[in-house]
Amino acid sequence: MAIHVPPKDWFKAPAGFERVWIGLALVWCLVMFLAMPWWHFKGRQNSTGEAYKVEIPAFAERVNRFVSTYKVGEEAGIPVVQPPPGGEAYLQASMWRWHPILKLKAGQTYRIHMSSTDLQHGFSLQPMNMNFQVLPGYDHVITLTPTAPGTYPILCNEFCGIGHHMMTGRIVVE
Amino acid sequence: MAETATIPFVEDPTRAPPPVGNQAGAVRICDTTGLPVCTTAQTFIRLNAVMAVVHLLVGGVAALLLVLTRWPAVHLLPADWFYRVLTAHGLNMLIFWIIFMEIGILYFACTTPLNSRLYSKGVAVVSFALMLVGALMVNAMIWTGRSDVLMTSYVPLRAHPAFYLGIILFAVGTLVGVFNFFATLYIAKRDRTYDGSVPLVTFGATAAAIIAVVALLHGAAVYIPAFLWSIDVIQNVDPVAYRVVWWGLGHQSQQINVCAMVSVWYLMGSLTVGSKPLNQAVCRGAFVLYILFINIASAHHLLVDPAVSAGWKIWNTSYAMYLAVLASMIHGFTVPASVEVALRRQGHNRGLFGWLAAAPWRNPGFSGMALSVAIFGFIGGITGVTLGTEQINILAHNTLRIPGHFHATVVGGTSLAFMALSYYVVPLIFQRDYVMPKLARVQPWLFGIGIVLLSFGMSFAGSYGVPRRHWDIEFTGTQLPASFDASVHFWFGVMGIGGILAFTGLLTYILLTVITVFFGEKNEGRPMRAW
Amino acid sequence: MEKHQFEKEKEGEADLHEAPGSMALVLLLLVSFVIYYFANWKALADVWPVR
Repeated sequence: MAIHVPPKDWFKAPAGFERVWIGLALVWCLVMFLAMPWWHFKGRQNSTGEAYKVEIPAFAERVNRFVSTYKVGEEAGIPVVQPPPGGEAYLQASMWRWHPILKLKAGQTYRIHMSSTDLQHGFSLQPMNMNFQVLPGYDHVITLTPTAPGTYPILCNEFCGIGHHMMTGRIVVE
Repeated sequence: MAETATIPFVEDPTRAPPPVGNQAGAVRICDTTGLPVCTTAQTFIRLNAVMAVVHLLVGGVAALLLVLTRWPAVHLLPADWFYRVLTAHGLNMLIFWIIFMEIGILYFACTTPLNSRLYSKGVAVVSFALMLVGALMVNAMIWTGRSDVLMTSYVPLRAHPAFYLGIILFAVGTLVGVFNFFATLYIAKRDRTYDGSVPLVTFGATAAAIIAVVALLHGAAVYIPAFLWSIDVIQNVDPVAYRVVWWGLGHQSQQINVCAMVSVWYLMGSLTVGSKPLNQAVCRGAFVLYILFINIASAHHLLVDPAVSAGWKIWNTSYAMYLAVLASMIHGFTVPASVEVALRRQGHNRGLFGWLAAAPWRNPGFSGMALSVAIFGFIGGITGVTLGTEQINILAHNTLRIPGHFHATVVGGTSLAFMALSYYVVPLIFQRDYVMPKLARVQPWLFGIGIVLLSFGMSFAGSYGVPRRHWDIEFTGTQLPASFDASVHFWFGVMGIGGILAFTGLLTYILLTVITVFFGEKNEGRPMRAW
Repeated sequence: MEKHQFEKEKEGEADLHEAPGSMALVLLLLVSFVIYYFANWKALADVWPVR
């Protein structure tokens, strides 16, 4: 038994059901492995981790310039900013809000640069439930294509202190 | 009158009595199994098991408070205490409860099956003292509000230096215990206390110990700089580097739990139905796959992180082609198959599942093990591999789907297996028969069903976007409102009921075990009472 | 016949027919796995394109 010393000649190849099962399981594991590179090339949702090291004040400066260049309004005291279609957009995470509100066009692709000015934050776009990590010192670029008009909340899902659960943002799509 | 336990292998006439070992007198022969028990190992199995259960209680009370807070209808704790208790829950459960138990399992696996004494009592004392002091320090820092950083303590979140130091001490203590295990394997081999290959349970425990060394080295590599940063000796710890190395500790420690759990499954099969591994090469090969491939598998915690490449994510997260998942799938067959063969050979041969119906479900050692296999396999394993797929993780990262997954693996799987094990450890190592056996028979079901409901509730709520580690899904006080699909409230109800049921099961286990250890009927001189 | 019996009694020799119930259980596991896995890919395909 499992608690006893095995017999001397215990090394033998699997047979019967065991062999069938190991074969099936191995095939399934290979299918799962290949699915990822396949989707990387053929699928439309990927997490490439494109990122650039950035100093926190430098990123904050870029966000400010972005906001002042493309600001089109304000909501609850937060600037609403409309980046050029196909262009660069900026999103800053800090304790405890997402800044600014982005106004995007459906069907257009944007490169959204996300970083934090303090702790780690979690970008969580609802209701599609798309989630990405946002870290201080790193400009995390996601190349995103909104597909339908609407108002989409951004939550924070990485613990960032006592105001974490009040940290929300928004993407508006026309 | 207490019956003799029907542990089949005692009656096996082809089994020769154990050879004279190296215990030099500090050994007793178990009245139930006839196997040798090193009295030093016994002392430290007892000490570690007791500490394990103490921390399970702390973590368990925390669990109840948390589930009643996340359930919006109840929302028990205020925000600061929620995050504090969450920190306490993670560390007491995932680190202290489980690792104290695993050290006890290691001490068993290197002595009784090998007919050897434990290498050193002094080393065992040092290990225990370091682990205890570390656990006390960490708990003190958490409960006094000096480290509201959650179990992962992601920089730049910053805790009191004693928090990091306590974890380091606990990790060092664990390494010392693991050293005692390896040293015992060495002297057993040297003194020829057994002839041939080590038993499968020992082999599995060895796999766990090897992975433990890798895990703890990652721990040193991440907690020492974090500690130095907390006392301002280092200016900065890079958040990406921290995450990569931390999960080298975090994920590997889960694989220790898997190895230990699977070893316990085989052990429980032996003890409850007298099962034998069908093919030692297959079972041992699967453990070797764990060692070789789990040590590069931490990427699935970093799949939506910046600065780590898609290539690394894909290669690493699949444990190099999912070969470690293959190992789990193999055990998923061989464990039930060995039970099935044993029961069929005892005559329970009717149809496809006659053996399953005839299995000793009244035995909490068996039912706990069987539930553990089912919950780990069907719920924990399937969700884990799927959520850990590089692209699918986009939908799951940091949502409640993640705790939905790992409560099925590490709680419904590993912890429940350890509870099942206790129903033999207490009678055989503490030498006391369990009080209230009728309640004991029910306990694995209370706990197991509770965890299944908890997991389902979390997983479905998370699939609607509900975040983990979050105090208020109504977002009161925020300037930009947000809300979830209305059905989320139903799933929180399921989670809440499951959590209460699981807590009841957990408390039952603790009360039965503690009362038995102090007041249970002693069984020295006779076999344990049968389940 | 005696030899066959002796070989069977060696530590848990598995026979093709000895564990059909467990085979059924793991096949159920595999089917559940495949369904859950592909359902999740489908859910992913429905969200916004992102790289």
